[in-house]
Amino acid sequence: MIQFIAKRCRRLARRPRLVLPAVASLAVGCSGMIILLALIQGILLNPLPYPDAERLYFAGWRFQPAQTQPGGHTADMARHIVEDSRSFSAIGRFRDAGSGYVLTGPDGHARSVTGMVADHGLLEALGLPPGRGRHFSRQDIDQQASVALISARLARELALDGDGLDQTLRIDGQAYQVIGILAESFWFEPNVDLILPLDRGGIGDQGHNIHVIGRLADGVSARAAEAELVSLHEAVGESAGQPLPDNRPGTGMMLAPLGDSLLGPAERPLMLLLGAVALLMVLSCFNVANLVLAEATGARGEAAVELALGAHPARLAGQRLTDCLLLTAGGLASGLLIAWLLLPLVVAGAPIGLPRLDQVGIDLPVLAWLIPLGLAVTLISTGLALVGQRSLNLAQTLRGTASGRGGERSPMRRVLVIGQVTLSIVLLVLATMVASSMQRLADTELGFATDDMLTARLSLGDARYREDQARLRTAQLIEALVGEIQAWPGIERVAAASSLPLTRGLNNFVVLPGTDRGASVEVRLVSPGYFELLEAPILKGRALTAGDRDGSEPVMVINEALARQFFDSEPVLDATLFMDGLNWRVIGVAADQREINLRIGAQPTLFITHAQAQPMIVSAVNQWFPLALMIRGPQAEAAGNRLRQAVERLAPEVPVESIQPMSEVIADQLVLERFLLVLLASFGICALLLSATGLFGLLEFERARRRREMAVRIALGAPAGRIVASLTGAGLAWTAAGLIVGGLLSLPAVRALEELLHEPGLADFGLVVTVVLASGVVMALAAFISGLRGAGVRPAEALRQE
Amino acid sequence: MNTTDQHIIELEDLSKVFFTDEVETHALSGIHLTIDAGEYVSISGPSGCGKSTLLSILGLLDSPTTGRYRLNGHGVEQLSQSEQAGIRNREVGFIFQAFNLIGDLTVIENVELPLTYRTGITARQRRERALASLERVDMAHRLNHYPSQLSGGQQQRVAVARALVGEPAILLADEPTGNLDSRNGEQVMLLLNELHAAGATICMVTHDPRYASFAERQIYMYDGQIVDEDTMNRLRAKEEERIQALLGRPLDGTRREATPT
Ligand SMILES: Nc1ncnc2c1ncn2[C@@H]1O[C@H](COP(=O)(O)OP(=O)(O)OP(=O)(O)O)[C@@H](O)[C@H]1O
Ligand SMILES: [Mg+2]
Repeated sequence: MIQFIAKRCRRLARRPRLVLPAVASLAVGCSGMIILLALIQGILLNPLPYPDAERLYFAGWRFQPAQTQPGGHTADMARHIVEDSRSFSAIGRFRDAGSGYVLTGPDGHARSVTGMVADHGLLEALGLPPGRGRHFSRQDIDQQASVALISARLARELALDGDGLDQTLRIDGQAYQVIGILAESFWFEPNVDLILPLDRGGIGDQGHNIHVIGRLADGVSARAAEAELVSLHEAVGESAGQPLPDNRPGTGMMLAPLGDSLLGPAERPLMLLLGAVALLMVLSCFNVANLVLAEATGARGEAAVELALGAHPARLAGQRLTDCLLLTAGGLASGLLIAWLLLPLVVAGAPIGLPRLDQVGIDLPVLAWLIPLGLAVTLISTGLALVGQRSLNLAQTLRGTASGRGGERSPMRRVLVIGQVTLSIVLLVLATMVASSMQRLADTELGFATDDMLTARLSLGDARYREDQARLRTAQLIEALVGEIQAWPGIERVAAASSLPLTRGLNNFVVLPGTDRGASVEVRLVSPGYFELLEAPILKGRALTAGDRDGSEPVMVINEALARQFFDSEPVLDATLFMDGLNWRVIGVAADQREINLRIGAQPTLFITHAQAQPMIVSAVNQWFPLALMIRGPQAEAAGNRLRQAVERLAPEVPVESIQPMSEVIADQLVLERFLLVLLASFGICALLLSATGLFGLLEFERARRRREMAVRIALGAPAGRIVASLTGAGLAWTAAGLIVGGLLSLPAVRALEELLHEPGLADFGLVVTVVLASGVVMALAAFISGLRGAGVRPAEALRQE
Repeated sequence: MNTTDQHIIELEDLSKVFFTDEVETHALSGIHLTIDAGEYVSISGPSGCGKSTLLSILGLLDSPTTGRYRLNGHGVEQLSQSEQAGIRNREVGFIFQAFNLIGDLTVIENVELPLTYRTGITARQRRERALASLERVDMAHRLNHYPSQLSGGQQQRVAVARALVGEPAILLADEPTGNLDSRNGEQVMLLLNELHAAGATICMVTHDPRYASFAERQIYMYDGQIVDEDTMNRLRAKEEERIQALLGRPLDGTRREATPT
């Protein structure tokens, strides 16, 4: 057996024309597959770090019928669930996973850290013992102790003394004592590094901001637990501020596995890519099958002699299998190497929204995938090669050169070429559609100017921006920054806002006085000059000015969407809206603009100045959203360093989270599309190249087989064009068939993509035709090169070899 | 095309050198040769003396290293590839030792093949001329057979029909009997005789002195040069002596395989 394999090995080593293209195509297919498997393994499949993680569930709240991700509860409702439910052996709450905190360590350096607030129950439910020290106790929560848990990673970064326990950290300007370092394996989306005790008060209580996670008690099914939650909600929901489904259809309790909830959003893009890369891999198997078949055809004489000498036909099948196995091994090994080299690049380019990216790597579980992968590749290519193999006519083969009717042609090889072209067209069409979707998003009418604009995000987590003085100090900070920057040369406008355009902001409830009409709307605190800087038109009335300050009449500018929602055809200007205990007069209507992100159209939004906003709102905004500073002018985009220094000088307690040109902020919104595009386009181009080399290889073998025939034709006076045509005609016909089938098959694939990107109407007939034609040109080129080589046969030489 | 006072083939001081891996092989040197319309010329000589090379050059399958070659009064050196293809198609008919029929084509398709490379011939005319050609070689009863279904002698007769179908100015045959047994070989030689009698110009390479005598003019080659018969015999005898001395036994005298590489 080993001898047999060694023999095939040596034989393959003498056939670079078979081995090199086969291993190269497998390397392409396998490296793509390994990269994707590494992503999927690291992000989706690796178990959550918690023991018995499958018993962990979100006890969540459904706001809409189709919602898949569980939402949060009001503080009251969350407390009821935690205290009253019996289905869980441990259950706890958290809020604001992913908030930025300003943390000053022993080094005195302020940094922005991702954290959340949680209670003792949450840590107990997750079930990971602390790495060092202890978790929160009930008393810590009840007494609002100033204690903190930090991740092992953060502990290392802070280089705390000793074991790091009992050290004091300044977090948002307040002193906290580190009582525990989280387990090394602790992970909570999105990479939480800091946990503070859950607070009882705060603005979030009326909102659905408290999330509940529980560990199912032994013997309790998820279904039973959900039933208990539903009845619990029926009993107390209304009083806890969560209306019953009768009043709000589609809402209600939902129990969702923790893993699905944390990792679910990553699943669809990864599965789309997996599908694409699987196509690529099948395609590379086609190539191998094709090459092995061609080689087998070339080695008919050899095979005939073996059979004539009494070899069992199964031996020939064994040879195919061994060859494919050896080629697969080579392909896997080189694919692994390529994947290992490329994976860091892919991870670096992956969207920020993909969870657990830091866990993606080529580790044991990924290596374990190589076995099924290798088997699949071997089986597919051997299977195709065996199906495609013609039975051998011994007498005829042994008799010599003259071949019988169509003797050496295999329909399977034609099918393989057609299949390859089809697959690459599908991949390329998908890539093109993602590109056009991205282009469309990038071309979205934003409703504001973006050129020559630099943005900065400043973290106002420090306590001085969170307490009673929040409003005053924030307004002062903005005034100081705007005043300073305005004087810089090449800067024409400066403005600040509670959040950048195209990013999430605060939601708050407003009511039309004297009616029962109210709604949750977007609230933006903006500095005077905000609209002017963005060149966002004020359609009616006026914009906010420096005169709209503390002590003067509270006024707001609303956007068209909000005007439509509340006032319809009634006069808007000077109307009143009620928010957080104050009546606000509408002094202007701003044109709609993309507010939250590129994909979502204008939401009802109101704009007020920091100086007039209630301290509670300013405090909440500062806690959850970094202050956005925008500067415009010919020198703006180059002013990054100067801006950073100015902030450090004027407000050393304020860390700068980011400084980016506005164009980059927009580009960041397309990161999923770009990731999909880059991967799909690489897969598509690889696929096309594989198909082209597949066709080329096929035609080259054909050319070698028909070398003598071509020499005879040349001797008989065939013009070069006829020779090229006779060598490439068939290949081009198969390619054309593949192009047509691929064009048709790409339509359902585009439908799937439309669903994934939530973007109907992607299918663009013109683009499909362009892709098909361009691919056709590449394929034709490959065929043509082989044809030209065929026409270059030197007849005297070819005919000499008898 | 060929007027009587004009040679069909005129070679002047022709030589051919092959360069392979730093080795120069002087396959032909200083060849002067003329062949007139209606002549039947045989070329013979020991293996490797350059017969096939000469024939390839005559048939425009290869080009000489130096010297002049006029075919039907026109120098061929300046012709483009496609012009050469045209001349091969119209003026030259090839007959190979290994028949070289195309396995995927039937007998009639093989014979029609040269005509398909010409313009201005309808499919019907092609078929008629191919049929006529096959009748001349007495193979009209096997039109739809494939070459693999024919005997060697039959294949060579089809090959002769294919060479004839374009009514070339000259037939070039490289050991047309080399792959045939003596009976089939003789039949092919008789066929060539008939064609010659009907006016064809033939240039044939052969080892076999018996077949060489079918031709009306015999040319002998030795080591890339044309020699007269006496020189030829002398050189041959000498060589044989030398080899006999080396091997200690006589050679069979007709054919020596080229040394395997
Ligand atoms: N393409 C080539 N490259 C290198 N050398 C060549 C080539 N073709 C022919 N030769 C050499 O040129 C010489 C003449 O070869 P050629 O085939 O013409 O001999 P021949 O007389 O036809 O022999 P035979 O009777 O065995 O067919 C030989 O030495 C041969 O090795
Ligand atoms: Mg020869």
